[in-house]
Amino acid sequence: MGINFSEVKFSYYIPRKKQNIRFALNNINLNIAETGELIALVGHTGSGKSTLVQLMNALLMPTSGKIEIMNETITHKSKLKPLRRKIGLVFQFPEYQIFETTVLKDIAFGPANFGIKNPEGKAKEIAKLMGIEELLERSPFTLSGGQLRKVAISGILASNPDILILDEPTVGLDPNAKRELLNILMNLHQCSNKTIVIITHDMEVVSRYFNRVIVLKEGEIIYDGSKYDLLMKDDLYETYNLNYPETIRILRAIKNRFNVNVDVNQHTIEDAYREIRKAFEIA
Amino acid sequence: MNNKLVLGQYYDADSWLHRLDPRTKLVTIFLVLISLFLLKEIYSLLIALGLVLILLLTSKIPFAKFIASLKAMTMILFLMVFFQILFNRGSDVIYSFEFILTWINLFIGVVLFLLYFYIGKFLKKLRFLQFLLVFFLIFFMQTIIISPFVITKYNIVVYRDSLTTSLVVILRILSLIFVSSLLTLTTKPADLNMGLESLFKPLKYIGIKVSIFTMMISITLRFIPTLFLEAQKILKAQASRGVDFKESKLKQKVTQIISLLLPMFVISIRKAYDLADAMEVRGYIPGAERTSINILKFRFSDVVVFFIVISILTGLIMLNVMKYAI
Repeated sequence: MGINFSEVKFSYYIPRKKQNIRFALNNINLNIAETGELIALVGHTGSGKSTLVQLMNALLMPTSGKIEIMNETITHKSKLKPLRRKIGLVFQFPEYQIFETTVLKDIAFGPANFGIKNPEGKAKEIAKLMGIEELLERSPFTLSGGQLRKVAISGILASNPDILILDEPTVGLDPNAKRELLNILMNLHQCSNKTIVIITHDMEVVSRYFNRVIVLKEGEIIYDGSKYDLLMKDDLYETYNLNYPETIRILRAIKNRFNVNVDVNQHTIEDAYREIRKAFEIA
Repeated sequence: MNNKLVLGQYYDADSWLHRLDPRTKLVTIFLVLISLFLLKEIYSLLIALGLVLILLLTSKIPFAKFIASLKAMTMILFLMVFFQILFNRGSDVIYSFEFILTWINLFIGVVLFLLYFYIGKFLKKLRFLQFLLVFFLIFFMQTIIISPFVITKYNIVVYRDSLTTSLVVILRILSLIFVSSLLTLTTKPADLNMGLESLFKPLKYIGIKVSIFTMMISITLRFIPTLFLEAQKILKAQASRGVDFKESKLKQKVTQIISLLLPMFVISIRKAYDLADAMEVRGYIPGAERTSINILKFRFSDVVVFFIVISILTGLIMLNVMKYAI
């Protein structure tokens, strides 16, 4: 179950001379379980992250290789609508997709398309979960950026997908709205044990909330595994084009400056604080 | 992906036609189109077509491109010939066909036409040839299949006049299409726009500000690819919310179309506001005198082309006038 990629290659354009082909994604082998995973997809701009998530939702077809979504191999003949209900994809800047006259109708648009019974009831339920109940009767064009983002995510959540994929959901949000949104997502993960995949550039978010990290570089997966192993590496910037999150950067600096023995792999401010105190109390 | 977004028909090559000033091309091609209408004999039209073909060969553009521009016209040309034969009556009879329409023929004819439309789903190529085949088969059937259920008997008479007129028209339209597609194939839309602006400049004396209109055209040309990309984004975003024209019911499809159109309008209007602000910040004032980064310059070859085309046109006008004078 879940999503399975084997030897997947993808190119946006197939030139007449086959040897000139440029793959946006190359040799992707990937396995995402249906439940219980929290995955962060990171990588440089243009490394193929957005292309990868579009393949996960069968919005693009692989040039070669095999993609299985919920045990079904994706071909041009597959029925895509039921699959897209199971895999919810929230695009970057999802505000653009909002079109209805009220927030309620817009959230109910997805479930109505997928033939789910009582779409408006479902929409109200999700709005309560996302904390936007008081907005339901307003026109979406009067809302602020952060509110719109929540409405758009609710629109996907309302069809109750098994796996939720979000393309840079926190971009352009203020720190408060960002924390609030991530907390809602984590809540959702804890309540229903849904797999959540998120594309982000923000290493703080990765370090704070996620377990599994997939690093893409020039269309290939160069790292797939736990965040602890990734952030232990010394060549994070050179090889992976990533920054250390704030907590690890401070702990590394302390370790080098004072020559004390600290475990740098701490991901919350509280843990980092405890680690520093421990190190200096012993000294 | 970017290759799909190339606008218009422009074909990039380096020929003398590509290098000509767009104003020269606009004016001379207009004059050539007029001269084509002054030709009335088959032989003179044949010579004109020959000259046009030489032009096409020197443009370094693959001939298939010109053939492609003819495609849209084949059906119209065919209908024109058909009606010429049906209604144009002259004196010289070339051949007279006798047809017998029976109920069986009518039935087979209808079936053939339905088959033609049905095949279109699978075989997209050579549609016109398929149509011709069906068309002639239907008429051929009426000469041989004889059955008792006769509806009417009728004759179609082919006259010499109808054939010559259709030939003249075909030759003329061929040349017209080739020449006009030569303009769009060798000139970039932006250059064409600049040429038009320069040609219509004198309109400012009667209070029309041409630069506003050409600015509108160039903004439109510039934003078609951008909006196309936006449309693709919206299409994908809505597809992940269950918009699917293949698998949805008709009632759902109506709201689904709105879900694509409305965000497109919103984005267009938003982009228009942003662009207007950005232009004003950089000092754009509608209708004010502006200099251009690309300046059009007449060269010696432009003058030669003008000279040749104008002499051809005046020669033709002289000939026509002389014919009536005598």
